[in-house]
Amino acid sequence: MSRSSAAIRTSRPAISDHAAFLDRLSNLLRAREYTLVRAEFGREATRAVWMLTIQLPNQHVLTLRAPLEPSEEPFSPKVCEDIAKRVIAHLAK
Amino acid sequence: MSSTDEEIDKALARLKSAISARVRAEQLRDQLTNLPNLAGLNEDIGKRLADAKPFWVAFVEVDRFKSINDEFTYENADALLKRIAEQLTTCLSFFSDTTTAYRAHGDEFYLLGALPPGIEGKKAISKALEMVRNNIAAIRVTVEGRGTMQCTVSVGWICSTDLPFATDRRIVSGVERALAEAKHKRDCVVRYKKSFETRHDTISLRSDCRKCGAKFSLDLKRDMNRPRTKLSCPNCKALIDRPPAPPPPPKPPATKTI
Repeated sequence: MSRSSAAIRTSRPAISDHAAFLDRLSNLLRAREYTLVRAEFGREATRAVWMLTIQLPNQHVLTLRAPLEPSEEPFSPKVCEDIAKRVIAHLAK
Repeated sequence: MSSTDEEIDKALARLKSAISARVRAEQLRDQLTNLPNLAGLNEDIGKRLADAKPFWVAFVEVDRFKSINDEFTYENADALLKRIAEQLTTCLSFFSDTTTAYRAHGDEFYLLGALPPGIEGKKAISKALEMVRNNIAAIRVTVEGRGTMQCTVSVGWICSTDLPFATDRRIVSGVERALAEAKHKRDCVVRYKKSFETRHDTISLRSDCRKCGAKFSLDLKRDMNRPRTKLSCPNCKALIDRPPAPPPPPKPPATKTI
């Protein structure tokens, strides 16, 4: 199942870095038949966090929390690929 | 391509870049007060979220601004808004260097700044916001033939650390709730509390009175739904059954850390 990136609800659609990040992450996950439903970027007490809602091929939806290191640039391609790897590794368990 | 063509291309690229930068700057600026606007605020909140340091946002709104508009005309009310913007800019010296003032629209202003560490930092922000409120209340703008314009403001504010998971939308929603609380009290400074999330929720009760048969519709505050609350028919004053307890808010889905 695929979903266009425009349909993804984002917390900050105005920032192009943010949109590019979501497009990239969505594409990386779609290659494994996972659909990125929602991605919220925010911060907890001490660190920045991506909160991702993902739909599995069996239509189940789950929310994953991906904390970032303080040194990581939250919208960078490197972090995007790292998060995609973490999601895929977690879902493959 | 000749060297002249290359130079023209480079000059055109520079011009295009300068125009883009100028247009972007205009998009992020309020025309009346020259302060950054709502788009600028959203962009800066996004940058602060990505930064490792906590921050605070204050929402400053003029009390009864409509009556000022009605009494002194829109043009004069705009002059008052300009004075408030100037005063806010002056008051930035009460805060850290990185604090910025914004005008979202109408009589709505915001302040955004880095949060000093510890409980003392929060107290200092609260105290400084009180000073901002007092300084704005001291503004007087004389309008010939109509009198003197003056106003009070209500201020709601929130720290990014007040929320377990702070996003731009949750920050803005939280500061709006704090402002609603401040507006309710009027002319004061209120910091966001978690309890504000439920305080203004209402339950709509529509029923028929068993005694007189009158149909009625009541909007009850959530707080009124406690067992001891007695409700009566607006027509015959007969006691009526308490409405059923509202369903608890849906639990957020369990999240797993990856």
